[in-house]
Amino acid sequence: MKIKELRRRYPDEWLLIRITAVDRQDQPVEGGLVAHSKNRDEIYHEQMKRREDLYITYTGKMPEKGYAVAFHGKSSI
Amino acid sequence: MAKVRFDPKQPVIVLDVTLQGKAGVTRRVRMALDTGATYTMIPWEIAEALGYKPEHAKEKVTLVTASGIEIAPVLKVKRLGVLGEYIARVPVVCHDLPPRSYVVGLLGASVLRHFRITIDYVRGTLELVRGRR
Repeated sequence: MKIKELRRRYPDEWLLIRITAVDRQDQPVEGGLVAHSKNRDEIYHEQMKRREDLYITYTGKMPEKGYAVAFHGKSSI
Repeated sequence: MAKVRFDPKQPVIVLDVTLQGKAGVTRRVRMALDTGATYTMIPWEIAEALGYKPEHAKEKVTLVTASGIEIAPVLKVKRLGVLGEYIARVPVVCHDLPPRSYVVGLLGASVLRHFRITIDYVRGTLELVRGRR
C-alpha cells in the first residue's frame, strides 16, 4: 500500500511500516503496516523485535495547535 | 544534488532519514532539520535495534533539556542516508525527544556539514549538494 494511503487511513497515530518500495531518492513510497498506535513508545518497543526494513512516522499535524517548536541543547565533550 | 519540496507554512522542515546499523538492520525515521544542533539525534531504542549498545558508549555529551541536564551517549552509525545521499560512520547522540515533538530525531551538523544546503522559504525547496573536502 502507498505510504500516503496509510497516513490517510490512520490519522494522528504513530505507524510502523515494512518498506517494500522506495523512490529514486531512496524515500519510502510503499509498504505494509506492521503496527499503529497513539503511543509512540509502543511503536519503539515493537520495532525492537524486528529486523526488516522499517519506517517509523507520525501521521498527525506537527505541532498541535497552541504549540511552537524549539529544539534546545548544549553540548560539550 | 538532491532536492525536495517542503511546506514553508510548517514550523519545521521534516525529512525521511535512513539509518543502517552494524546488525544489517535498516530504520527509516522522520527527523527535523536542525541547523542549530551540533549532533544528529536518534532514540535509544532505534540505536539498539540497529545493533548498538548506547549504555556502553565511550563518548558522551552533556545535553541541557527542558527537564534538566542529561549525559547522552555518542555512537557512530554505520551509514546514514538523506535524499539518496549516504554518509558513513556518522556521529549521533542517543536521546529520546518528547513524544509531542512528533519527529523521531533531529538532523544536525554531524550530517549537515557534508553538504552545501540551500533552503528557499519563498519557493519551499531544500537542496543538498554533497561537498568535497
